[in-house]
Amino acid sequence: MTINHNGDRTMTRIVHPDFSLGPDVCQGDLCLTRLDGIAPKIVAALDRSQVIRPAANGIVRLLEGEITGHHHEIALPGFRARAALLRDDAMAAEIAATAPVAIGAAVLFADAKAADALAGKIGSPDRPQRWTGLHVGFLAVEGGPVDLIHPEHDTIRLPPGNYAVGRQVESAGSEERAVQD
Amino acid sequence: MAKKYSLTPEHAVQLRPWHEKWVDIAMRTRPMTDADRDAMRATVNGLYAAANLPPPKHIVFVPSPLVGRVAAGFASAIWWMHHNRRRATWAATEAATRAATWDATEAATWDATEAATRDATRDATWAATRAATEAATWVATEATTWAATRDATWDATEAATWAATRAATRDATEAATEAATAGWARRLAKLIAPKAAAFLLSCVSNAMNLYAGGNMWAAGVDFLSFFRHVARLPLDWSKWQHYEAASMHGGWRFMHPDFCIVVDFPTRISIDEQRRPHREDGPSHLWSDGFAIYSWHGLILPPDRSWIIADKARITPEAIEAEENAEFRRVMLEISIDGKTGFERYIEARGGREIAADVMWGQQRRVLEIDLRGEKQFVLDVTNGTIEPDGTRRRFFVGAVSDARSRRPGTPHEAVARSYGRNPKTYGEACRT
Repeated sequence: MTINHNGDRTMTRIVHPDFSLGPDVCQGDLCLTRLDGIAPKIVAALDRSQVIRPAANGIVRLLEGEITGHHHEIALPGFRARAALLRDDAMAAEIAATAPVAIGAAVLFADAKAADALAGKIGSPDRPQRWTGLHVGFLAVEGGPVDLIHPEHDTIRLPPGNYAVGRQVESAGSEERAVQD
Repeated sequence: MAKKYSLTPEHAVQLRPWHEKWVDIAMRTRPMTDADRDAMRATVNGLYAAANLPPPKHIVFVPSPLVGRVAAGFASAIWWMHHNRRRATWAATEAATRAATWDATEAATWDATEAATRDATRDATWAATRAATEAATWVATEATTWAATRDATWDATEAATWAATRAATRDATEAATEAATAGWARRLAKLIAPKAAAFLLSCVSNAMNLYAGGNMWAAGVDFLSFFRHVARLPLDWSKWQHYEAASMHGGWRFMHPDFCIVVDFPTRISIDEQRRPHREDGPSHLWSDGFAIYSWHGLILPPDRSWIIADKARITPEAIEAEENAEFRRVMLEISIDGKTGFERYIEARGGREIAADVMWGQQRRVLEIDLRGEKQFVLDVTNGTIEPDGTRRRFFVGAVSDARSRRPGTPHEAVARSYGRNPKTYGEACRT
């Protein structure tokens, strides 16, 4: 039992990626591909100046849930401390007991040049533009791990690194349609 | 023509907000207010004056485009008979609904201003205003409503009218036609003008000749209004201003020398993420009188197929197999009932051929093939990485993404990788929740 970012009790576990199995971190219709090992030159040239969505109330939103209103988000440090201000002492104690608490920082940004370079490298060879169409942006995590959270999925504790953030499609006859969460 | 204007930086920053303002106008779902109706009365009279026409005898506000179309058709027929007192024929239908008013007002207002603005910085503003607003609104509003009123009135009017006029003396044919169609418009026409019912109905079929715009036709107005209010081109806007106001304060508009009908805004417009009309649990478009349009990712369901969304319980494997249209079959397979897609329910009932399977994170993944009326469809059967509070795992049946060249999904690994746009050779899950 843990507490999610809203302070709600959930059955969520905290899952740690094992990058020896591959570079892709998947949470439902969201996929983060860790670039540090597979595209070091592109990583070195990343331009972080175009921030897509600055943190608000300790949260960086990666993908909105159009149907459910449930979003894939990064919880930044300080948010759990805020959650501890809830009046429920038992809940606050449980939050304090959850360790280690994520202590990193994260920023979501756009870099069209890097995205173009990556499409041919990690996109599906039959249709690399599919990867481009699904690409949301780049996520830089540093200083420590951060939590990737969603009300309907277990939390993923992301270690520091550079990630390409993308979403998922399903086939719908003659067209491919973004999965609606 | 000398260039009248160059886009300045101060004006350029207003392009996006201007476009968004007109998208809001086109997608409006708040009803007309008394202030809107007052504005429409003044602006309609202004439009007729701009066309050197006397004001219409009646300006009528109606709740939906279907009522507007039927009323416009009936009224134009009745006014034609009043003015002509001659036998109603097919040729009379054209005369009754000929766009006399539309031609006049368009000539007086649109052409004069559009020509003058054409030499302005069209490229920069066109994409940012007209094209953008049209892309954001056209499919979801104008095109959908047009097709839906055509579909809704066809069965009730044109088919009935054609059969009736072709076999006017054959009571049996008339009876059969009445039985085969909804018949309500035919019954209404007979009530109003027993001897000219067919003529009234034929004018309803032609009533779109009277259509003259409204808020849903916002893209062109967006473009010109930028030049009026932001660029402030020194043109004579005294006539076009009425067209602009009519696009802001009212919905669809049917203009006739003797009357003008203005339709209220819908109470609902639902779209998908590509801004196409779409709603899974009811009509995508709804007006206050109940006129409804059902849509699925841009596919408008005709009245005889609206049950696919309105009464989903009727989607059975037999109904799916009986459907001749592949697009409607697809809707039935994609639509969810109680958390299960049509794919899942169909596969549960009929089975699917398993063409590949593997295990990932302890859960089976499968690629299944179903064959519907000779059309092969591939379905990916996967289980959620997260356990639900009740201890179960959600299962998903989704359309499997195929390789664009082989047109086959391959293994579950390949289909999942491709669903994220990733190269299956380099895709590898470090974790999944």
